Amino acid sequence: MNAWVILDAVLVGAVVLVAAVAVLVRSRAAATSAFLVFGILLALLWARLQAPDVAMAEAALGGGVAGALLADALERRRPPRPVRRRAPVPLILAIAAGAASAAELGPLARDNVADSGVSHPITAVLLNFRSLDTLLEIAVVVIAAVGAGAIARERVQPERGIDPIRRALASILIPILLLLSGWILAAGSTQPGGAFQAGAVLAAALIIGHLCGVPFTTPRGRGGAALAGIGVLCFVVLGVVGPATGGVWLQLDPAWAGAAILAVEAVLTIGIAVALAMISLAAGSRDASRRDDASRGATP
Amino acid sequence: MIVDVVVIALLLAGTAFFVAGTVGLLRFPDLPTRLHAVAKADNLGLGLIVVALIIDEIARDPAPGAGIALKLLLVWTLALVGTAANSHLLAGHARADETAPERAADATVDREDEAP
Amino acid sequence: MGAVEGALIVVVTILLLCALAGVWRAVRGPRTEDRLTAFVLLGTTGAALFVVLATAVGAPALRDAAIVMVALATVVVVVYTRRRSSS
Repeated sequence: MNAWVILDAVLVGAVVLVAAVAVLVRSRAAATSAFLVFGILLALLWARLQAPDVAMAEAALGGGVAGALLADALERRRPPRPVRRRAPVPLILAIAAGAASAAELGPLARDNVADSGVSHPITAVLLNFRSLDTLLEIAVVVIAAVGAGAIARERVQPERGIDPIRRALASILIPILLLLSGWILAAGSTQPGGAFQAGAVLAAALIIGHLCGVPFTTPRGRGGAALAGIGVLCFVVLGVVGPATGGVWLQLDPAWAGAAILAVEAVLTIGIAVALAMISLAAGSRDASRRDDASRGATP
Repeated sequence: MIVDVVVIALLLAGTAFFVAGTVGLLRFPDLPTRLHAVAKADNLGLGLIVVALIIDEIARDPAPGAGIALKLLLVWTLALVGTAANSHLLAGHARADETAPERAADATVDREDEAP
Repeated sequence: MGAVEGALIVVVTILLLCALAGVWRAVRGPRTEDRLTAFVLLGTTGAALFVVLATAVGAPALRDAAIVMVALATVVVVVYTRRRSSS
């Protein structure tokens, strides 16, 4: 038997096992940790499926932004609620539906890969056949960010009194992350990379910056929401240009497509980064009044 | 040929250190010892693997090999910096809980694990 | 299959098993710091896996993913420890 097959079997088995653990374990902290690990293993699975774009996005999101969101979930103290065991009917339905659609859609996608402009089937599905989905997903993120911004104005305050370890960490990590984000963005035109991955990395840089007291990295309020929204607007404008000039929605003239795409991706990167950072920080913040109660030792 | 042997030896040594670090994480009795195992053994394992891959790439093709070597060294350096900071932050956080028992309401031991 | 490639596959498989073992610590705890320590280990292991896969499969982009993985594993810890640090 080929050694690669053994490796793939172990990888798939690991992913399924960790997912099952994340779902079935009772303690919330344990399930959250298992889910974070699941993110890493999923990134490896994407890598093994020869989809480096998605692997990079999964690594950036699962490690950085999702990690930031869930770390606060690890911390929240609430009285434990009894977990009621229900029959896993929705789970079974989901698996069945997934298997059925895979049987139909798989060959359909594979047959049309040649027309998609990309040679790899997974990338073609994610970035071409469902490009409208991508636009809508980004719009959802922006809307969530606007909501987060409303909360963030009161709850997210710049941190003060930062210890030297954090300052040192920020001074090393943030420049590297900025460079990495720019590189991923620029490389995205010819290699795996692009706005989403670059935005996720930049969001992590913003989160670290805020937590380590770096000025101007606290995304909140109307400024943050505006930055996030501009990215989506540019994407939509670019998409509208197509039908406005007699073509199809989201169609680009090859002559200036390259430069236009890069410009839009740059703006999208900043928008995504600010949106993700806002959501992570706002979701993890506490009421200022509750914070005082907690530090005085009173039971919340 | 001799390069292959060196590369394989370094790869296996690095993997052995990774296994050692993981075993330490599982078997050591408390947080500081576990942190120590992860921080030291894993980073050494990563370093050995990185060196092995650098030798392999340069032996195969020197010109792009230098750029790849730099990238791999960056991975290792970031791992070192990150792990050092992480260990300090985690250990300090745990100590803060131990030395301030009056803040038990915010204790780190997960309450849900204690509930019946 | 070359000897080096075989060794790379062995390394990846063993590292995967290490990652699985780390999951055990992540689930057991007992404290959240223990779980985050397991996550840090997984970040380093994941980076090693990406880097080895990049050479074994011939996908240089995975090295970028490795850098991302290792840089962002720190974020969780920084977020979690931001409320009360002893230093």
